[in-house]
Amino acid sequence: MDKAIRPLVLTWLALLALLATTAGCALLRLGWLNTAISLAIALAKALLVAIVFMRLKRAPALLRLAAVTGAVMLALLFGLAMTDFATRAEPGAPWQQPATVAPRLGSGPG
Amino acid sequence: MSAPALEPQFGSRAQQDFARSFGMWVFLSSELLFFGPLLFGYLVLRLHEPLATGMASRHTDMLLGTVNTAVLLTSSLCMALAGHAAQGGERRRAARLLALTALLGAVFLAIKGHEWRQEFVEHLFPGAGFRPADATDARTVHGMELFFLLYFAATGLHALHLCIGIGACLWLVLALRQAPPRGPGNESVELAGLYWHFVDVVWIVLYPLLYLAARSGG
Repeated sequence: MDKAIRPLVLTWLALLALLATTAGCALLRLGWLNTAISLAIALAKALLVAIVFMRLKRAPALLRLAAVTGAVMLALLFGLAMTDFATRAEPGAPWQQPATVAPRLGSGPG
Repeated sequence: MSAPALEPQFGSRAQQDFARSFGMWVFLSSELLFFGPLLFGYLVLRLHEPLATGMASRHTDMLLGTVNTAVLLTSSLCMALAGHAAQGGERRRAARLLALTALLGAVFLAIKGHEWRQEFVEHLFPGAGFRPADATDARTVHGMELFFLLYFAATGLHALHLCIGIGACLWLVLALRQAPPRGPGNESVELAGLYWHFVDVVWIVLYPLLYLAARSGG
């Protein structure tokens, strides 16, 4: 095998192995660990694709920065939005169909 | 073989190539934020309706989803190999690998389309006809409907991106026949590859969220 394409093929094999692992683990009853494992494996797969296939490993610093900015921005927005949603008992109004909300009559406690 | 034209705003070819890659990465970062609201909606739904999310998730076809993930990962390998071939100046080999990549993308869409059809038949498309077979109380049905709203929106948006990626591959297969400066330079395969791999990463994240959530019932 050509020396330069070996890391690409090895990455592909690792991705398939991780896929088999995550699918297998999902079938076991592990409680909250199910979610933790599947998310950790998804992160590992995404990083493998980004670093090897998308060549971030050899990319200049400015390219890496542009790649990370999106993820950091997304995390910031998740954090800010959670300050609202995590402190409520119900999802916000735009997600509810009128039929699912109990009519609020009078001035009693909502 | 002659190199592609150097645009007047760039001082050197290296600077031009870098600017193109940088522009693509900025675009992909904004694409990530484009998918963000769907992911956040999923997070909120999962936190507020964990049981309904799990019940709805078990209605998706895990076998087809897993096969589809493998198909997409393999297409990414073909795309990476195409980028490598183009970098070495082997444009014909790159074109063949790009055609294979597009074919695998089409296989993914075909399997996905079959899954969508199954879900339509099982009355799992959100709307007036939404009637899951194991429906119990109204609140659970509503949570499941929200899950399938996110499911169809996320997989639909992903499929749209994949269609654009397949179009880019097919265009490159044809365009690579012409040598630069009329045809595209070798680095254009790299740019199409960045987009393709990004679409792959989106699926890598969607797969555990949509197919594996509470699959074991635990």
